[in-house]
Amino acid sequence: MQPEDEPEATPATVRVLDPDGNIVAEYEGITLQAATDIGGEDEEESS
Amino acid sequence: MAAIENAMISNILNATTPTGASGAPGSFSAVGGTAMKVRLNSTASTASAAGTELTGTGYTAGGTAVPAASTASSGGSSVTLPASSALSWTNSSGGNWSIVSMDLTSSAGTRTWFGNFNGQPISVANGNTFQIAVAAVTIALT
Repeated sequence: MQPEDEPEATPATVRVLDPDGNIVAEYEGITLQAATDIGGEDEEESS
Repeated sequence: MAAIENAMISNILNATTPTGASGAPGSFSAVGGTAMKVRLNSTASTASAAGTELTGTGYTAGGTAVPAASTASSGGSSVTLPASSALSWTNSSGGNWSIVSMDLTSSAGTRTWFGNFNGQPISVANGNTFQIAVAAVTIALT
């Protein structure tokens, strides 16, 4: 019974759409991270 | 891999280390300007140089301004963009776009952050739209 107030409606993705708005290709969003060896957390690396 | 442009790395380092007078923190040079922009490239950007910017009808040189303010970082949290609405570019160039990377820049084109897209190079055929959904780009220091 949690209130639905999280703005999660739009998935964090990068997409290619055709002229009708259909998804041609879809990719995970990207993380621009200053350093991966600080803090100890294993974040997904995208770049 | 660092995703911050070299001058911005120095800017952050100098403002948070004893590089100022008598060991005080150095000053931060504000990026300034109006709404920041997302620039798309057909090659990878690096800390020292942006990739080759996309061209052709449907893409405006310099990039596209973000639609709204992102939620500010607090307690070390990351910042996401775009806020409130997706960023979209419809390819009307007459040929394919091949999109590899993006840069976040000031309105005047000063680079701050950069990175490659997952799945790059992403091919966008003529007539198709490349879209970055709300919060699809996350920016973090750690």
